[in-house]
Amino acid sequence: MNKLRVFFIALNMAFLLSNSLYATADINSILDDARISVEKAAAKGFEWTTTRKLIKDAEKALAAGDKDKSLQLAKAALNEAEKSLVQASYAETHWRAGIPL
Amino acid sequence: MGLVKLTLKIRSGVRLAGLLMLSCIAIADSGNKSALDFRAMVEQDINDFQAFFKKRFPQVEFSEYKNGVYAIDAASREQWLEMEDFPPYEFAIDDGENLFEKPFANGKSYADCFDNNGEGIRQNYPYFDSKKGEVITLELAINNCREANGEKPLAYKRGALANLSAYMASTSTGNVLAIQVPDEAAYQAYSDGKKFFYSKRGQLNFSCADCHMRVAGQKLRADITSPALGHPTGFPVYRAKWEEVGTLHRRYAGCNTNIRAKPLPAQGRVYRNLEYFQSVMSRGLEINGPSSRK
Repeated sequence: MNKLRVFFIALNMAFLLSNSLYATADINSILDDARISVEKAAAKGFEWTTTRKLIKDAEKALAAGDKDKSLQLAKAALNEAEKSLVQASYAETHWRAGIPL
Repeated sequence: MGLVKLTLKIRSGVRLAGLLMLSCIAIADSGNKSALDFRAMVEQDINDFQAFFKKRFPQVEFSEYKNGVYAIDAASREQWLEMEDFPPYEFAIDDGENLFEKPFANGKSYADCFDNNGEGIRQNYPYFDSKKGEVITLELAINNCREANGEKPLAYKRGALANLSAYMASTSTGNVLAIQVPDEAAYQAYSDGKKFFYSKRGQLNFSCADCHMRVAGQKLRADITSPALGHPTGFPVYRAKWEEVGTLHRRYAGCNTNIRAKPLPAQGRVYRNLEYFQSVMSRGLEINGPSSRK
């Protein structure tokens, strides 16, 4: 019985540890993608004012060990950066649709 | 036999020369056609743009659009007219005049850089410099003048440069804006400005046209949006919000920030092209800068 308990505790800890390691790598990867996308949007003149702040806040939360918050912010930053790129690409081909004449 | 060969050669030569002439005519013709096309397209754009506002605000006289939102909203106009009794931009004009008249370290002055000694020329800006291949705004020309005379350039959004621009605009009051698109390179710059004007950007996904055409005259939060027609004529402007005079590119940056789009550099190529497009659209309106706005 004790052996079984030790086994489950060990298994649980392994899960927690692996989850924590995975989350850090995941957040950094998302942040990298967000940084690349925001630079691309900036080069096209379509950067949003809110995206870099989200990236900064995600970095701060990660440094403070709050991975849940950091992951949320990193995802939001990536989402914004990608949307601004879609906006730029849409404008490139469809800007005439905005002429109200 | 020899005679036949010679005749054939002459015939081939004549045909070749004929073909060459035809190609030259075709090339020249396509060049003219293209030149005619872009001029016609600009004229069409101006007509459509101005007709849009005529239809939107049928009671507003064309000449009134130089007054921005005060042309279309009676209540705002009343407040503005009261404010104009003691124009808040007068100090900027005085300061601009002093700066304008102060010689550079080399003894030359701003007057040496501009036509007509810099008096009454605001309506000629922005123009397309075909040699440089770019749009030259009045503010850029002021800084070009400084740099050509060994002086440091001034900051583009406010302060000394805005005051110099205010003074130069004040000497041009009543002159009619008549910005031309002289060649295809200019048309490209004009088209880039047009594309910017109609492209949605920022987190709010708004274009210049969304606020200043589609919903011009309606409320966005507490403010009534101004019509795009006439935007450049009154600049630089004193804004109550700024508590000082600022340039058109400062306003562009503010507009972009409002829709959560990162502003682009003042007097960068993009904003200069936008100013060029807007100024062409406002052809026929009088310069009345500097002016005051909310």
